[in-house]
Amino acid sequence: MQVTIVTPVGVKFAGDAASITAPSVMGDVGILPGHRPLMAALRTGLATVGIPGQEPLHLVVDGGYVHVVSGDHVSIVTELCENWHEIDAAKAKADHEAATVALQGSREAVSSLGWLVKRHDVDLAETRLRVLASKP
Amino acid sequence: MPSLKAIRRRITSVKSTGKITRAMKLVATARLRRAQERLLQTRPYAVRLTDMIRQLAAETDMDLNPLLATRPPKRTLVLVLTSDRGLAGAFNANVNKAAWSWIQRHRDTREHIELRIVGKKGRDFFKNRAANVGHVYMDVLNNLTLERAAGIGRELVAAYVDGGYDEVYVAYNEFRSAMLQNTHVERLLPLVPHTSDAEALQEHQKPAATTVDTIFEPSKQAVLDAILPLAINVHIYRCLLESVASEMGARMTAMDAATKNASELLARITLQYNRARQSIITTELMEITSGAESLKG
Repeated sequence: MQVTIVTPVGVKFAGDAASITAPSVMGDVGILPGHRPLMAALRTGLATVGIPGQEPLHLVVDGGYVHVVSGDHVSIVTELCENWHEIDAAKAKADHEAATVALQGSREAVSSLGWLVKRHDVDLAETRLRVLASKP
Repeated sequence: MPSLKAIRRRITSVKSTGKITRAMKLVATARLRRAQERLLQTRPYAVRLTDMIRQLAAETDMDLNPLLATRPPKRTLVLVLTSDRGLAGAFNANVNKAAWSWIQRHRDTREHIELRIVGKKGRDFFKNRAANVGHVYMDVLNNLTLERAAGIGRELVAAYVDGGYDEVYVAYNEFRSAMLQNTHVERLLPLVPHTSDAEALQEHQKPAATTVDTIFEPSKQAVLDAILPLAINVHIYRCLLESVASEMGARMTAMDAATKNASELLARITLQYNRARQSIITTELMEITSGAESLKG
């Protein structure tokens, strides 16, 4: 099936894929060729694109949506998409620590805007580390 | 007539100014090209997002989403996009003036208008005017990232949703060409699903096969709620990129003119220098010959 991943800084991936796992807000969704038309909002998390004859591609995605237009046409529209060689390992680790400390030290009410922003930073940093760990 | 030394000093200074303006023009040209490329790259994303929003907004109750629902405008927020550095022709003056005249025109019908400003030049302009300036963002255009734009977007959405503002406008320069930038003051919130033109909207509402038996996770409304803030972010990002391109275009044109002026001036004072030198030589020769003449006698 044809997969396109679009971000504000350009089209990050366009090509043929055998499967996709995307982090929807309701949990991860797996998409195989012939999937029913679907429109799911995404959270910050790890997406995996299975490409025939290659290592699966692990990506950080940040919000947006995944849209299965028809069984063989899928697009992911997200604000951020990174693969492992776009992530600086040392910075990712430091960011993760800083974000965790900031979230734990936060006195804001849970699910207030400020808290959500910090929570998002932790999620993003965590996902970056996961993508790094998947480095082939 | 100024002394030879003074003219020589002037020549050196004009030469070095010319070098600086030429270098600034080259830098602006390179950065303009990069900004234009980045603008092009946002397009596929922005188009998909707005298409999806238009479709979903048509199928859900718009009043349920605070970012889409219109309320009577009483308290207004205006975001003005300017640069931190000058020497860019009328770039900053145009957008400041456009924002200022917009405020003066709408002041009577609103209870409160607050400004949020990007860039030092906007801050300086509104400092001495009767305007409520809220937050000033510095150093945005020089090193523009999506994160920065999204951060501004988040604050505007927060001010709109919880801060008691009824509408948000953005004043910016739209890039047409290096010679021409158009200033716009356009509405950011409540979000217009793509276009305010009702006819164009209807034309677009062809029965889309995509949503007929599409499963929505969690629901149509929730998907719409999730992607609307992204549309705000990319809108601001695009406006900021347009501003970067406009700033660089305006600077390129201004510096090109400055370089031309410098070389014209250089030609003029070089001529002046040569004339002065020649007249000194002539005077000296006269003195020598008249001295020799008087010795003969």
